[in-house]
Amino acid sequence: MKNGQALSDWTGIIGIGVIAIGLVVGSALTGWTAVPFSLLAAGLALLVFWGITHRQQVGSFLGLRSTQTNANILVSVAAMAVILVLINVVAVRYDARLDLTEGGLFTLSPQTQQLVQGLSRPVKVWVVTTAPDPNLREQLERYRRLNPSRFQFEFVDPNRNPLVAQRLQVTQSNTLVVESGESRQQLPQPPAPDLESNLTPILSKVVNRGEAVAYFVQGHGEASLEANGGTVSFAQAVGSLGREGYRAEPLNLVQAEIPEDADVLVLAGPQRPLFPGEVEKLQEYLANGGRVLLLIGPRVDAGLDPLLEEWGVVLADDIIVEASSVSQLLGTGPAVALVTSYGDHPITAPLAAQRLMTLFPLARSVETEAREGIQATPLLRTSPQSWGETSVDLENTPVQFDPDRDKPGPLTLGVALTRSLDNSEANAEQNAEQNDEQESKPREARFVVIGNVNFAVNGNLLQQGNQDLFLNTLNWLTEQTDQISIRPKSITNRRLTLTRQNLNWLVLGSTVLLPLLALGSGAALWWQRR
Amino acid sequence: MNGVITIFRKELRGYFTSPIAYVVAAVFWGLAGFFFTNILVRVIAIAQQADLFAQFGQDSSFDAATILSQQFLNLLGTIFLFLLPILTMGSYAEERRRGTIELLATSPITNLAVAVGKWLAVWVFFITLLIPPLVYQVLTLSTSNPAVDYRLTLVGYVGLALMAGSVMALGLFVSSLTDSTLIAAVATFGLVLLLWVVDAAAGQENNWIAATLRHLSLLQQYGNWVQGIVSSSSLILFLSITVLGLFATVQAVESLRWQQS
Repeated sequence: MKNGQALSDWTGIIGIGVIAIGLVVGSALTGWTAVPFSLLAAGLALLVFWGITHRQQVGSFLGLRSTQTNANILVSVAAMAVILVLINVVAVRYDARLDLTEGGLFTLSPQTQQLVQGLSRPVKVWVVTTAPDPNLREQLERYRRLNPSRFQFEFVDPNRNPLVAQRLQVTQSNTLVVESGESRQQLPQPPAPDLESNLTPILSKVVNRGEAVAYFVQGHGEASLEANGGTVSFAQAVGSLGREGYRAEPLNLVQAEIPEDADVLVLAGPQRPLFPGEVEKLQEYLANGGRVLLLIGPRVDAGLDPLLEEWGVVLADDIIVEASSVSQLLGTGPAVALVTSYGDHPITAPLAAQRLMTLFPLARSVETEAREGIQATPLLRTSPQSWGETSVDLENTPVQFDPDRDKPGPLTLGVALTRSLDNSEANAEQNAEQNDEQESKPREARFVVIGNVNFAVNGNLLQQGNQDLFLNTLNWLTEQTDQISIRPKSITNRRLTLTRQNLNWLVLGSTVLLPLLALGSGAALWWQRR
Repeated sequence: MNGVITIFRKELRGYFTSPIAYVVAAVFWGLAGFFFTNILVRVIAIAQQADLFAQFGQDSSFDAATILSQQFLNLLGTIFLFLLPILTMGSYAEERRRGTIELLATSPITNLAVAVGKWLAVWVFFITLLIPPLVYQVLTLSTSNPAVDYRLTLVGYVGLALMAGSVMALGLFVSSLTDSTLIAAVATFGLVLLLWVVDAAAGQENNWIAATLRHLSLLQQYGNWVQGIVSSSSLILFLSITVLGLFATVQAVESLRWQQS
């Protein structure tokens, strides 16, 4: 009976608790669905039950002598709570942290602190994930604390917020998107110790650059930028550029000049020759420190001879035939050039480091001749078993290496060229536009030629390392190499050198002897008392 | 002050002479030992695997000592979630049941001194429970190569003691509300569990309510200490909960005096 009375005493408090849970669930967790409403209803029912079983107390509460003191007590507890809450609010705002981990695993590096504290415009990090990692939240919170007005972050569940995920162009869970104004870039969620070394450079990139614009020259049978039906297009390439923070725009050189805001010009797969005027525009653009990517397949005369002659680039009149065993293993056929060997260059260094292969269906080889002031670096080399086939009628003659006419492999398939601007007038003019930190850097024109266009079109772009090659090339051309490099916080490699005997003693002592000791003393005590 | 010491002595003697406390100690040490050796064996196995991979030239950085410490301390926190309510359940509820609370309430010792003395006693008893695990953990870590920074382990234990202190203050308060030790234990457990996982209610939201809920989560705050991050705000949170618990206990006992008379 007494217990029953005590239990009904508790229904009131439990009811309040259930109502609180319902409120929290409804406002923060699921929205106002059936679950929080039924919680609220249950809590209310409990409260009503309490009220009925305690109607005497409730009824006489106001008339009791102790009401005065009860009220006083309530007020004093509430006052105490308010004081403590205020103290905690202040404590959170002026939080001092001591990071005792080795190498300051949880302390942001001076570079990051400087960058985040000096953010010139607001930046937001979206974390698209179905299973939020509290550790990641903690890390982002550390970023936010450095500059709460400019740095924001938000966790988004792609299943509950598909529209946001779509707007951010995120297709995979556990993706971070750094967004500032129009400029946006995403990265897969890195492991905890690597977060800073991955996030900070991208943060700097997105904030300091804004959106880069890549113009795709059109009008000579180039593939379109939008997907339409089954025709060849660069839609995937445009999409991946968008995720890297680029805007891709078509450009017709006959009708328009090269826009001022062009960060890079892409001439991808022209089928018909460009007009001489167009080529002149390109030459002039490069002479003023422009950046051009030329993708050109075999058996095409794009009328670029003056430009190529100027830069010392020779497009060979051949088709690369791949006869290596890897090709047979992949089943790609002889007309698909495989590249596993890369030149020593920022574009291809990540591919070489990750041992990524790149595939080039229908490619021609590219050679370079020395020109004064121009530095050429071969990027892509085919296998020794490949050769450059020069026979005209490929369909009807068997494909075979002919030492008299064909070029033996390995062949170069792509080159990167730079030319520094000697013109001091142009130099000064360009420098004035650059911000301070880049002023000391010499300006240079950059030009990449790859004897293939199919590696970047829909269907092939996502094969092996093709997309990385494409994006790295554009990033190098637009000088988006990371200014900041922060080494991942390393974990000390530690081992416990317990001997077998030590371990046995430890197991025996901690799991058997200690509890027995406690039980034994308890029993002895009980025996003594009895 | 004398009152605090008197109550503290009496209560502590009570713990060391009550069979229940010994059962709690046996259960705790048994669980702690079991989990410690379990984690240790697993960590050693992973380290061996990492060494194997190292022979093939792969990155094999694995901090066996720190992983052991962190996992074990996290586990101790979870075990105490269940054991602390049992330690505090009788503090006031038992006195109420026996009727000795009236003696306490009318004795010259102030209610505050009683509450602080009781809290101090259970806290000291709890710290004695912690000593053996600390000793064998440090013994194990002493075999670490390269040597480990013991401050990290120590900070973890300090965090555990602070968190336990706040949990026990809440336990005292709940115990002062009822004369049934069982209800006191269960309600304390429920309250602490709520504080433990309250951050889950915040979901992925980013407003001040969610931030408050996350800040209140004992699990998150304690997790920081275990990892080796000492933050002033979590220290103040633990102390605030302790103070609020003790203050509310005093007020509850105060109100009892009025109801009885």
